[in-house]
Amino acid sequence: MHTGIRSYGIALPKYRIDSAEIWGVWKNLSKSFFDLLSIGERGVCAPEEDTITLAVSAAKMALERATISNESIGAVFLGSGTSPYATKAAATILIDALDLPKSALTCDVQCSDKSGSTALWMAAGLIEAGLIENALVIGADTLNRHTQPGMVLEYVASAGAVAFVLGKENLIATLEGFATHSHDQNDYFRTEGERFIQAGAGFYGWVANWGLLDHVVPAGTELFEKTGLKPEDFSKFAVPQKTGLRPLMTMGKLELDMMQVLPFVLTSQIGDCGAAGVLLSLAHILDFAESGERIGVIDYGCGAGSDAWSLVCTDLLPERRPTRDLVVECLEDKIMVDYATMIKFEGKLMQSPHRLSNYY
Amino acid sequence: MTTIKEVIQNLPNIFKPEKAKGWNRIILFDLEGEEPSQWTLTIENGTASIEEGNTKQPKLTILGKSEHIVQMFTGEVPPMKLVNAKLIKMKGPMMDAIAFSGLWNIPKK
Repeated sequence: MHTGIRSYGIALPKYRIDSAEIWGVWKNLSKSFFDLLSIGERGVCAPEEDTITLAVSAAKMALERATISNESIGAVFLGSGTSPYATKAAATILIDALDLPKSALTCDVQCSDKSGSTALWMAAGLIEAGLIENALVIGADTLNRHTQPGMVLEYVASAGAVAFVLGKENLIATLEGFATHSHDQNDYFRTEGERFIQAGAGFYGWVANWGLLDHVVPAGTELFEKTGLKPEDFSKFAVPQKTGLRPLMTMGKLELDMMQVLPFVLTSQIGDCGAAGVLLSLAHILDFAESGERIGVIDYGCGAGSDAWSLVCTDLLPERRPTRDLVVECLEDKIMVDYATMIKFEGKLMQSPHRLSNYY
Repeated sequence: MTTIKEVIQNLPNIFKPEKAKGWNRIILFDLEGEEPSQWTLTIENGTASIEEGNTKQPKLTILGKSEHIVQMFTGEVPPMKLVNAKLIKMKGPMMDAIAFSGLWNIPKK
């Protein structure tokens, strides 16, 4: 393939909550699970923050780093399972917010947690076919806003956005192989009219990971078969990381080495960023990768399937890599809040539909 | 007989920096046994440094007897054997505990 990543940008909520705060209120998870599942801190959306604002911030960073004219962007794809709109497109807002051409093909891609990966490969196909020159792709989610207080998912449900500018020139990494595997499976879901995500198969334990393994293993295996590559041909992998158990299961079933995977798992620092989760791990890898390194990406969306793909870092990576706003820096740039503040910020307080303009 | 001080202070020399790019962590060794002591290991920007005592808020705490830590880093006993026998315990995210074990050139005996 000639298509690849020209630049990338990230956005994380600055507010965070420690899992001990949540446990102090609900005490609904055995303390022994915290280390086992690598539960630590997770993002809290500020009152004005949502999937679109995070996507705009990440895209702005990616466009600044891309050093191209915005006029060359031929497609804008926003991958998210938590768009603020049910019917209206959210990606069109990015066109206006970022001053992108109105002739760009604009689309929301809803494919659960792997929405970002899927959107990226859809855009790559258009570029590879010569239909467009460059594309802006964003994976963004706000799972935290869509998690019911008291649900164990609350310990990890987080938010974030990762944006990529794709093209054929001045690439920091070239896309290489792609494989996917999809069939219906009852994992996390949210039906029409519901605000909160439901767990189809639970939060932890073997059953909770059936959906993951049923998709990740065939997709990963197919990637290796299609490309003729073996796990040891990759230097690093970005893998699903809703909890710390998922990387271990992915690693074990696909026979990856622990040091190819575990240093890039960010669950304990930021929680589960949904469509931005695996892509955030990829951005973290790219922050420190070397020219020539092959990176594997295995993304999984609950009830959506798995995309497995590979990319190879180019000689331009060292000179074009970001020197500020690295993932590690953004993870450390935080303000801790308590449970009550989190509930207030994420709009989970019960309010009377007949309330006056203020509380008297 | 190798002392815990020698073993801990040698950690920066057996550290694999290429495995720790972007993996910044503070790790506390909280040790009992023959040489009770505390050591704070800081891994940041691909370098490892050691301070005596509990000097920073750790992300991962390694608990056990000093003689078992000596056995682990000198290669006398495989680390997993000591962990499985609960002679060495790790408190903190399991991801970090496993990743930590892959950061060292431990001599094979």
